[in-house]
Amino acid sequence: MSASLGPVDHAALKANQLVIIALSAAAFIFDVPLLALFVGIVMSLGTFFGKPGFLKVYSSILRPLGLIRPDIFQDNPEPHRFAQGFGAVVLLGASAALFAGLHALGWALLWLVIVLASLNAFAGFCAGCFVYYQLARLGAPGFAKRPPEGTFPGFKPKAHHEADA
Amino acid sequence: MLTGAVLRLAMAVLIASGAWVLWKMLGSSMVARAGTLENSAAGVPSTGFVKGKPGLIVFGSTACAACVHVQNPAAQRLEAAMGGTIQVVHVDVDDQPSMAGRFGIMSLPTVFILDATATVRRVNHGLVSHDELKRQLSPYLAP
Repeated sequence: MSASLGPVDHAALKANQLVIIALSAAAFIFDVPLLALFVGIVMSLGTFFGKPGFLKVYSSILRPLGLIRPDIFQDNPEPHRFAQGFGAVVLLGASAALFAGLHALGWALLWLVIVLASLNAFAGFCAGCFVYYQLARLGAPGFAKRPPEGTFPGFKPKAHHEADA
Repeated sequence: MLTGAVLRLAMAVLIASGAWVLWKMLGSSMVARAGTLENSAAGVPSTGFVKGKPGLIVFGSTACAACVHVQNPAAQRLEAAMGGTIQVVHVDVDDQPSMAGRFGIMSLPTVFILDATATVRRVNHGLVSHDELKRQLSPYLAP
């Protein structure tokens, strides 16, 4: 995992997840594939700009009304961005399936996003973090543990001198 | 259209309920799998958790920002606030991958709640707050 840290508002992330869940569920209940497409596009834009897709809902509505308070701390934003991007891809795929008439596949993909977002929002389980961790275990390039200080990735660590007795 | 929406709403509730049940079963399965930590024999890796006091085992990694900057401090604050009534053990999955495998770690951080007999009682996938940890530990504290 990357060592880059930055202030991450977890309340904004949670609000984003809740909106995604609500809109995706509404798309299913009212059979509106266009709504699923809309959510997928917003998530894609959010991933591209490195922000929660529905940040405006949080900053312009939820926070001013006092319904949710900021929860900011130093965190690695990459797993969260990965999770949103993954969700966007799956939702866009769901939309494509729905418009192509593959309703079972389309709704199944949409529900995958709802379940993963719900796990994150209500159980604290981050799917992006899960994938990051599993890829690190497999030794995938870019996901493995950071090399020791002063070591260029891929190179052997410098030999250290024997400690004095 | 209304009938269709009602039917779909019912399906949505069913799917959500099923997913919740599966999630709870997964947690129970992990707890059962972790079981009771036995005293380590020679050559067998140990978490460092000892019988006699309830507490936490926090699985994390130095490469996991949320572990380092949020979960570990929350666990440490809890330990300080509870005095000597609980123990908190940190396991770095990079240093002890076999221990992570034994506990079935899927994501980081993962926090296990253990009672005084070193039996795993609960598992938390992802970040869990100081207050929630305290609430989960309360049934296992000495009166």
